[in-house]
Amino acid sequence: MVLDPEALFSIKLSLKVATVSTILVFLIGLPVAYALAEKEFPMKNLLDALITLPLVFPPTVTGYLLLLLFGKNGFIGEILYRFFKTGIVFTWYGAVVASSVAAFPIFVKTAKSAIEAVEKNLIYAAFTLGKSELETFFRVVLPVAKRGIVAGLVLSFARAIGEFGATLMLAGNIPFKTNTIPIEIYSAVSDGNFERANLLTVVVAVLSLGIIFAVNRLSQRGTP
Amino acid sequence: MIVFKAEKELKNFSYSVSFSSDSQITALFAPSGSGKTLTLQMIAGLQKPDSGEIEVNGKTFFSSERGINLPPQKRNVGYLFQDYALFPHMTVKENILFADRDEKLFKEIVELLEIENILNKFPSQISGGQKQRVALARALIRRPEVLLLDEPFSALHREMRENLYGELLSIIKRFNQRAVLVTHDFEEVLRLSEKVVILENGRNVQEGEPEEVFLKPKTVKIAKLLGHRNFLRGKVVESGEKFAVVELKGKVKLKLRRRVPLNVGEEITLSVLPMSAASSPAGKSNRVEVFVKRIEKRGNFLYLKVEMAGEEVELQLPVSLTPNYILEEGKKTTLHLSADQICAIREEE
Repeated sequence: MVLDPEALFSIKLSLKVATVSTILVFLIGLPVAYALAEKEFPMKNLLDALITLPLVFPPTVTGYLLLLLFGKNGFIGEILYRFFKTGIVFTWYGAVVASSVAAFPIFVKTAKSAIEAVEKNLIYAAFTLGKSELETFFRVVLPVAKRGIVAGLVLSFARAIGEFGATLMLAGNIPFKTNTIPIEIYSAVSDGNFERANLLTVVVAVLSLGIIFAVNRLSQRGTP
Repeated sequence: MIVFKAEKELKNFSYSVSFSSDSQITALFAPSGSGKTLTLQMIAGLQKPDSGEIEVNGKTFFSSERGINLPPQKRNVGYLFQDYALFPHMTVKENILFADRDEKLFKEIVELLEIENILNKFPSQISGGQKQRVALARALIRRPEVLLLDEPFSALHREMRENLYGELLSIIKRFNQRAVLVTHDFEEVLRLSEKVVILENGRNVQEGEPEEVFLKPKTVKIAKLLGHRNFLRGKVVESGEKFAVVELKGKVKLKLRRRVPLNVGEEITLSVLPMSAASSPAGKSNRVEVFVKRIEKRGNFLYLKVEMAGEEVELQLPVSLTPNYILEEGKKTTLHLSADQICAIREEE
């Protein structure tokens, strides 16, 4: 049993998509999580609800909405097309967007509770010691909430690896282009090629187990 | 000099406190939930009053009238949090140097607080008393305008507290540091401060020099906060320059030092301090017959529950004085009560 080039491509693609979306989710999600945890602002609850939506929506619906948004006539799609002569629909960028949207609420929720759990007095102490909010965030909040935030990242990565519905809607199923592992498994089963499906399932299982171990280790390790 | 005046409306709590103090250590004394920590947070800039004025050593921290509200970073206060708030991911040394890298002062403070040998440990690896020293070192290293101490001793056991009182005092004197101490232990107030402000339900109800406040509480409610226990109603029958005499139920007469205006014929509440029985009989001004209900020995003291003028009264007697008395539960005896330890409380509404 050897993996054919197409299956190998799908593994590499999935890892690439998941890594890029996890980085995106981290960069955008961290300030959002901090704002939701520590700040009071108008329509905070609405923002929280919007972020949570992809968690409860059927993935195909999320994918369909993304397609409307990123399609050539969609709000973002039009901008991309007009100014950059490019689009993300049916490209691996589409897979990244779909995975990011799906993973975003998981990361934000986890990071938000981790930040909320940081003792208020630690933040106050840094303020009275003359440190700005930004410096306090990097030197106190982030290190203290580190474990929760990393756990959020690992779960986001896992969610991104497993993304299927929205990715299929936005990026399609194009061999050697947008065929992530879940999509490849779907194709293999549709084609009756169970050997490929089994092999890819083993790959997913190994990845998933690795992730579960990582999360468990993170949650068991004591604070320094 | 600290000038503090602030109002703030919170859910279920209305806060309006004003005081000024020129003392080195000012104590804020109150039961929990009366706005002590809120006061410190307002001085530090962590909470914003709706209106008011906060000034420390001539610097305006906050003024609603002039539209001034310095951020906490610019106020330079040293805040000793009740839970110490040491950064768990930093060593003791990193915690102290978090604010300032003044190596010379660092060395001096570390030596003074005797924490040289724990500098490389993490907060989770040191004891409560050590944590407090580290937090104090961290608060002191910026030479703050004012040191804010939020119940600094509440988490420590008695013996350790005794040591730390003296230490804290000498450090504050050494750095010529102004401090505001929040506490719900009046003994701490008496030991450490020169001025006390009593808060109750978000209002300052009395202030002054601690001993004086202790002996001249304005109301029975304040007296109870201060630890007074025995309240008796009586009528003033004599009122001289230094002493007055109050007659209680059953013709029992008590002589007391006159600290508040007392007019012959008026009804008044007396507080007989438990320690009024504690000095030597020779110096006592009152010989009172009481009925002993219970005797309990705790440490160097006998705790007596007696009936006097029809009321139950709790008294403390040093064991060294007991040979002067015949004490037996269920029997009558004569006790000597000091006129200095009996206070008259005029309820001023």
